[in-house]
Amino acid sequence: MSRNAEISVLTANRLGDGAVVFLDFEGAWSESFAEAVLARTPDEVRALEDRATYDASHNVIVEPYLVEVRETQAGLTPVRYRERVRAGGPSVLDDVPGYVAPEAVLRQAQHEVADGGPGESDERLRTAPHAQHRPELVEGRATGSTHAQAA
Amino acid sequence: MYRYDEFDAEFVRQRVAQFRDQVRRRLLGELTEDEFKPLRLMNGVYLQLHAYMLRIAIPYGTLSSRQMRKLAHIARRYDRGTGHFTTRQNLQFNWPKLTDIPDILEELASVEMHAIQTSGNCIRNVTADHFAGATADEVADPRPYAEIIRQWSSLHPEFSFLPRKFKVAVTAAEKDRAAIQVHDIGLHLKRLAGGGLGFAVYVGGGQGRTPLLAKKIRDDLPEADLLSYLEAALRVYNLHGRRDNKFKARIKILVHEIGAAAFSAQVEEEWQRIRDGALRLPEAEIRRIEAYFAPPAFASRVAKAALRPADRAFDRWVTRNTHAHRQPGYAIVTISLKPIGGIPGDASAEQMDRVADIAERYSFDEVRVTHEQNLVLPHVRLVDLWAVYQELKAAGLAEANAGLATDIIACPGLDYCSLANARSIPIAQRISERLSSRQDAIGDLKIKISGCINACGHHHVGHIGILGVEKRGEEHYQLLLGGSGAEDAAIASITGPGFGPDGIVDAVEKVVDRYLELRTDEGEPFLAAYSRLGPAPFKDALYAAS
Repeated sequence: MSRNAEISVLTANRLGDGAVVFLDFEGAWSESFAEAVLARTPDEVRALEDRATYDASHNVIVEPYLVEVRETQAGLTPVRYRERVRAGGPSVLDDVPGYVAPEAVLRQAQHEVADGGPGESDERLRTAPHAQHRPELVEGRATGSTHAQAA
Repeated sequence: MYRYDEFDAEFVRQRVAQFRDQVRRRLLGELTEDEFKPLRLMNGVYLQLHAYMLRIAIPYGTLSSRQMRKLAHIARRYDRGTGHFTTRQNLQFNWPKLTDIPDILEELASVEMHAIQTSGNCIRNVTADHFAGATADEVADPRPYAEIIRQWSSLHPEFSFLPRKFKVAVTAAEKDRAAIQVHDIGLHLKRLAGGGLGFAVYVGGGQGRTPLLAKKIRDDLPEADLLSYLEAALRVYNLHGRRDNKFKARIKILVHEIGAAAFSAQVEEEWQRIRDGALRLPEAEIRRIEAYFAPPAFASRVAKAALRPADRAFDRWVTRNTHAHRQPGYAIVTISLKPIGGIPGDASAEQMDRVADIAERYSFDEVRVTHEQNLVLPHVRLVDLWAVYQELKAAGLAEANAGLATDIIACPGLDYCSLANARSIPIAQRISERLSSRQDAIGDLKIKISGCINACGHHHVGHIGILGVEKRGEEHYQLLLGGSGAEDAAIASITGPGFGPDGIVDAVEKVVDRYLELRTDEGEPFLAAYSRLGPAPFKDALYAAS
């Protein structure tokens, strides 16, 4: 597989609570970028687009779109910085006064930390006490196993 | 403070019920997203980068303790324990669930608040000098007029679908703390030649992708004619403002394209037609609204200052964070929401509760929100300053940096906003940390940061402005110098090539270092030095080595 091949994942916001979600390899909407199913061919992209149209029209999600991702040494990551922030959450949550993370976020964060360390990031982000919220962490995704499941 | 009348209460109650039904129908699929989106926006509900966002109007930035406690309650119960005060004197919650928002709006209505007209192409929340009604340098409290404008503009049928959003700011002091020259309409309340009160009217200011300073089109508008003149101005804009191009639809573009004189002439013509109609403000009505903003029952005798221990931090806080009050024996206190390395404008639910308690006890139950993302206690007895300081300190709210280099305005940026291209908050945090140790030596300095060209962080009017852009998919920052949103309003100029996320912090420090090196003495502020020296020495500091 070419490392430069264009790869897409499908993202949206969940209608009821607005949470960022990714279509996962089981066909469900997951809050974890790491579980997103990959589209590597035009047919796979069309399948994602069809699913987006269907779920948007059935009031499951809103504003779906495809996100271009690339493979790096650390794993898969969105190409645009904007999408890395969106996938990983605000980079400043540790500094938000009084911030209370919902349980689901904490569970997800623990899962991601267990999966791998941070990718390329500045010192502030690497040394943050709760780096699981940092967008750079989305680079920690393991590509091989995910692709195998997606296939 | 203004209290809702029966009309206010009823229309807010109706709107909550309508939105509750609209959300129900959306969740059931009876409304599509295309149908629902304009309805949610009319109620201040955005879909941002990570979640829904609810923007709550705080008219002219004035809150009671009861209202502040309600915001704290909502932050705790429906959000994630925090709220964000914005550059439009509003409050934003970043994590509400759509399913909860009808309940949130009902809670807000119970304390006479709402989120109506905090989005959409309508007349937005009217902002005002955050020291209004307290400062010694104003001719009168401008908030009664802001309230009159709020009532006139709320659900105004003719102006609910303008070419673009419309923002009005009001001040009554020569020192402009409301940035009136970068608003669609800015009003300066003043004493007219005949002795009565009236307005200088500025029109067509704004920031965004086309920053322009407003033009003064009237200098002597009698207070009785305020609404008829605004109606005429809005009508001309509504008729001739461009609707074919979103980026050229603001009134500033119209005024710029046809010229202030031509725009003014059209307004005058329309105004002459309607000025003696239903919108002429009766004296009794102005005074009735004014009565809601009557000064509190200040102590008639100035109490002697209580003994307190020597405390340099307190002295520094008094120097930076208090302002002269019109009433002897009182001070205006700025509560900084800019802890060193913190997030500009953020406050926890606990902090909001503490501020409400302090305001209730020491400031006649009143809090203000500033467009610089701080809070204000407008009426504090001098003898209470020590106690107020101690309580603020315990709440983590006693940073003594009002107006200094660490008192940075920053929009939510790419950390939250779906429109942003780059993060603003982390840049503000790092600049704050970098400059904090010598901010007193630097003196007054306004640093303003936006994460995109829409300029919610007011970068065009920062003494030092920073604009985040996207360059090849990554964050990049342009540096601007020489702007001001005050009475000496000016649009900042870009220095040259931009910088990466680390480089921009270094660049700001280089500009500050060059200023310290070249200022005549400690009494020459940054903006004065920049005006005297021009951009060349600062560009040299930034780019010469490269």
